[in-house]
Amino acid sequence: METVTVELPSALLKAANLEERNLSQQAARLLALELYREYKVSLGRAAELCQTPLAAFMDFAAKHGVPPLRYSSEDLEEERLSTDRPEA
Amino acid sequence: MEVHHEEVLSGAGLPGASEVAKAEWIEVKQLQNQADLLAAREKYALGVEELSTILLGKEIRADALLLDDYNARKLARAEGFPVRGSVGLLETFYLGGHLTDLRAAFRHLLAHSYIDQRLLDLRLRALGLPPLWQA
Repeated sequence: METVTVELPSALLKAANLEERNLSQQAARLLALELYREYKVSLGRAAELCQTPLAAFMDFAAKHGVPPLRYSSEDLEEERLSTDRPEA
Repeated sequence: MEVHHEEVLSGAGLPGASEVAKAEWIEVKQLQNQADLLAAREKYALGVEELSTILLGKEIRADALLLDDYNARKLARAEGFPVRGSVGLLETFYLGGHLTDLRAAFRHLLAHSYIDQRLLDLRLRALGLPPLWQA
């Protein structure tokens, strides 16, 4: 994947409590998470963009308070209504 | 194929990975038209597994698709597919008598903070079950 180099204030990285090692990967994960949180990309695409395995990104999202499973209650109700109910 | 790879190879060691790998009833299919996938990658902000699921569904005229991501589900519905997610599947198994303790399954999702508890409690109420963490 093509990459670019960015400059960030060290105070910002310190405030974000990012570790010195893997700084680029951690920053990329946070940026991808924000895109996912704002519904701009899917969970799978967000994981791809920060080059993180999907399962690891799901855990990362959950730890940052962004549930990987996001449905609306209407969404789930529609699923239930369209499911063939088992015969008694 | 892309989803199977994610579940079985990338997800090796995670819950369910070995069960999926061993399941003889699962037929792994390769998306035939890779050009469609490339075009869709340019158009939609979805991952390769999510897009492959929708495109393969179109190729094989699937009856329904299993997707959890909000944006992927939205696109699949726009393409005319009935969509099922993890929570909906668990509910279906429960209603069909294949899962006896739906609340325990929901608690497992909550243990990983994968979903909002309020949403699960709403689903339990719709099924006439007590909310989570209530005896």
